[in-house]
Parts: sequence; structure tokens; C-alpha cells
Amino acid sequence: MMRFWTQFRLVYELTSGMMSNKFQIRDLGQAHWKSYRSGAGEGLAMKRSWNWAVWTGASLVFLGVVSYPLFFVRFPGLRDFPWANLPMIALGLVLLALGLVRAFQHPDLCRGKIFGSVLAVLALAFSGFFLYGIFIGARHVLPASHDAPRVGQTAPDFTLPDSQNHLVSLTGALNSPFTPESATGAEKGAAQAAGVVLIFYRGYW
Amino acid sequence: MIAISVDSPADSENLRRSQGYTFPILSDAHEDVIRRWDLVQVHGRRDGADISRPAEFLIDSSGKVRWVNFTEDFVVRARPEEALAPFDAMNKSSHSGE
Repeated sequence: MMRFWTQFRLVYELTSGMMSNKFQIRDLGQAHWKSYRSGAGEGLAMKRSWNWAVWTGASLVFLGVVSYPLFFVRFPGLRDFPWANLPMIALGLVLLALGLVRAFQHPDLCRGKIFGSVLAVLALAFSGFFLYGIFIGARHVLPASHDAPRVGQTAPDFTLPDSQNHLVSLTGALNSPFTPESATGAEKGAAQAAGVVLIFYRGYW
Repeated sequence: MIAISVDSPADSENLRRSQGYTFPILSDAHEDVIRRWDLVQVHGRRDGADISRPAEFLIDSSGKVRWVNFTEDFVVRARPEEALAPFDAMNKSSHSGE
């Protein structure tokens, strides 16, 4: 970022220096003002620098939020806590803030006062929505399930259709012969299921 | 291993095929079992319908519950090893009893 800024400054000083040698450039804003008044810098006034920090920051925030449901949920460690997403969002907000500060301090040199503010509000709302969803929304919506079967209790039997509409019951599954992949010869088909892991999940709708 | 959700059998079949799962995926579209097991998350779906909360149970061959996992945060789910540890413990105790 600093390198880009220095390069911009260098180009600016060179061009404005070429156009009006009589002005001593001490302060960029002042120099610009002088050359603008002298008419020499009119073209330059239109060429304010592209505020890349604002755009990169907003893109990072956006990416940091959408990459969680689209990609990082696949990795248990990054899903349980958004280790990958929080730094992206934080970095994005910092860049956005820096870009905004620059836009407001040097509005004559750098664009972004208006769209930077709009992007900042959107990014803040977007990241707020994400943080709320992850740290509050996901935690306070689940039922207490006080009457769910507990350890030591007998699980109530049930019968439900599987994905091919064959009826499956819990007792049936517990009593069905089970062949471990490691089974050989006579062991095959002889082993009874030691138990069933039952997974209730939210579904994909 | 058996999975249960409110998804239709057709949705579950799509999931099973796309992920290559070999275990049965049961459809409790009317939430009968989910309600009886007190696992309903009211209005859990974006359209306001009820769904099952995430929950995992280990049931032994006599039908007794040996391990349960109720997450308090639906982005945090049981890892395979968390369910396998009580399974191993159960197998060891049943073998030593023979």
C-alpha cells in the first residue's frame, strides 16, 4: 500500500513539476490546489487515484463471510470456530477503514468518500450479520431436549422409510446381521451389530 | 449407522448418491420420531417449518442408550472419533463380559 502511494506521489510531483516549475512542492494538497488554480493541473484533478484499499477491503469482507457457508464449513476445525473467516473479515475492515481515512484526508487525490462510506456501511452490516449468526444465532435456537432419551434409558423404537422408501426400524437394525469389513470366511454374516449410531441432523431441504 | 432428518426420501437419496454414503438415511418428514424423541427445533427451517436439532446417539444391541451428544451450537458437531470412542468402550465391555 505504501509503495503504491509513494509511486503515485512521485508521478504526481514529477508531472506537476513539469507543468509549473515555479511552484515549490512542499505539500501535496497545496501543490495540487496551486496547479489547479493556475489551470495547469486541471487534467490531474480528474485523475484521482483509484481507492484500492476500499475495494479490496470490501471484497475481503464479502469473501470472508460467504466463504464460510460455501467452503470452510467442510473443515470441522474451521467450522466449529471461524478461524479462517474472522482474520479475512478483520483485515478487510482495516483496509476499508484505511481507505476511507485516505479518501477523507485527501479527497483531492483519492476517490472514495461516497462509495467508500457506502461500502463501509454494507461491510459492517454484512460482518455484523455473520458474527451474529455464528456466535449468537447458532447457539440460542436449539431446544433443551429434556425429554430426549438419556444414557441408560431404552431408546424408543421407530420405523421410518429410508431414501429408497424401504421401511427401517431401530430394532430391525439392531438385530440385523452385520459384516465388518475385516471379517473373513466363517465370520461373515455371523456377527450381530454391536449397536447403532443414530444421527439426527438438520437436513438439506 | 443410521441418519435421520425431515428431508424427503428423494432428497436423502440425492444426498446419499452425491456423497456416496452406504448407511441408511431415514426420512421423518412428519417429525413423528423427532417429536417423540424431543428433538424438534421449532421453525428451524428458513420457511418456518420445524426440523430436527443435531443430536447423536449410540444404542447398544439391547436397545439401551450408551452415549448421547447434544450440541449447544449448531455449527459445532460431533466428530467421528467422539462417537467411535464410546463404541469401542462398549465393545470392550461386552467382550470382557463373555
